[in-house]
Amino acid sequence: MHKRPPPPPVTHSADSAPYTPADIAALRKHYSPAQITSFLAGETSIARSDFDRRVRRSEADPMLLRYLDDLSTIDPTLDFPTRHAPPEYVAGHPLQPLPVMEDPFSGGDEAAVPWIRDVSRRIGFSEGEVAKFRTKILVTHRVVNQTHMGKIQKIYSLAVAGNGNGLVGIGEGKAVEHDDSQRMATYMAVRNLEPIPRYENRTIYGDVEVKLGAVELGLYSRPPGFGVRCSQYVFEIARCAGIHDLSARATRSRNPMNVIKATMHALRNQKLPETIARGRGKKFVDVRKVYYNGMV
Amino acid sequence: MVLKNLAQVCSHLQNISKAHIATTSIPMTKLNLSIALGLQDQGFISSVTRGNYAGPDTEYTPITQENVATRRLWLGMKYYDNEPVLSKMRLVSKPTKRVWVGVNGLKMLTSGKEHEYVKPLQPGECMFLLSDKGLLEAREAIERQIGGQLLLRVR
Repeated sequence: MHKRPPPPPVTHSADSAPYTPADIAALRKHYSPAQITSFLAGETSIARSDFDRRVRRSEADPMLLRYLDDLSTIDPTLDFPTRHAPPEYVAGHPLQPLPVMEDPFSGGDEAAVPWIRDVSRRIGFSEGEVAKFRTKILVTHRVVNQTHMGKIQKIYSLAVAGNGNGLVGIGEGKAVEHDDSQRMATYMAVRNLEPIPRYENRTIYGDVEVKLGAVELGLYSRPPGFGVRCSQYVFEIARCAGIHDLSARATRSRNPMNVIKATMHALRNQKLPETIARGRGKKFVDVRKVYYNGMV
Repeated sequence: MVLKNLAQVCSHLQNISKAHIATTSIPMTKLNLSIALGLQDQGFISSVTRGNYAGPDTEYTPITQENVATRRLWLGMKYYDNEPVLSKMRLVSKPTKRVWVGVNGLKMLTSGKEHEYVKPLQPGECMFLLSDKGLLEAREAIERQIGGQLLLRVR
């Protein structure tokens, strides 16, 4: 029978040798006795053969892991979820299912558009509600950036979004592709939805005059049944916001992008009767409701 | 009555409001005093105090020949919710064009209708006019069934 050859003698490297008494005497000049006791205890806790096996972290390979791990098990905190894990938890299996939170808004809508899903998570409306928002692209034009590589053309879009009941927002998008730009703008518009005050849910409180850049815009409150008699951009914003009676006048610049921004500024800066009453310390009564009983 | 001085008072109060300054002084005249008291009644300013150029008087100082040139009216401005309470103050009657309005005209203006090229009153807006009974707010004048010269409108 063939005898197994004896194991090779264990050779230790020179730098893993324990401290000699002469070394310790030299160390006593720089360290306190307590410090020397603690690191000698640390030295004894590591086996010399393991110390010999240590591998210096290679400066040349930046992709090497900074910690010891054979990557056989998946850590729920550090690792990304895997699609091929078994459906039920199996102890020790390298591919482990991670806990998945149920989407509270998923009503079985499998054909969800990614941007709708993203924005619904961000703003708190369900995907169905987001899909029902009225959105419209109001402005689209090319913008050019002159770089060292030449002229880079992009498409700029401005969209308005609203629920027709007091929420309205505008968003801008810029991309190389027409569709991407419009999708970006619509996403930003829905993301930027904000409530605006409305008198009787149909018109604004009083007349608002704003100046934004070179645009001088006046939004005028109108009686019930008047309609939204405004220029196209103000009309769309009023439609999305749920304003039914409005009149507008843009006197100076009529640049579409800035008119839209001025309209939003005006809708946000209405003087509310509540604020006026508290500021002046006076009782503020809506004569239309109190005296005329809503008839006028 | 010099409307140019009143226009300066209107501009000054608008500027003070924009800068969020607490107190300011305007010239001490009968008209300015009545307007200041009217604004205080309507709640646009908090206080009206006599004083000199340095500041409001701490104790009563009678107006004499010596100190009449230094007399000023000190007004306390009001701010609520980071916005000024008195934000816009404009003349209606200008030095070049005076505006007189009767009771019916005042009723139209307070009901939200334009009258004789004067824009109607906005929610929370006040119009001060000079009548036989002195300086009145538009609604007070309607109560008393008198008209007068429209001086300024405040928002």
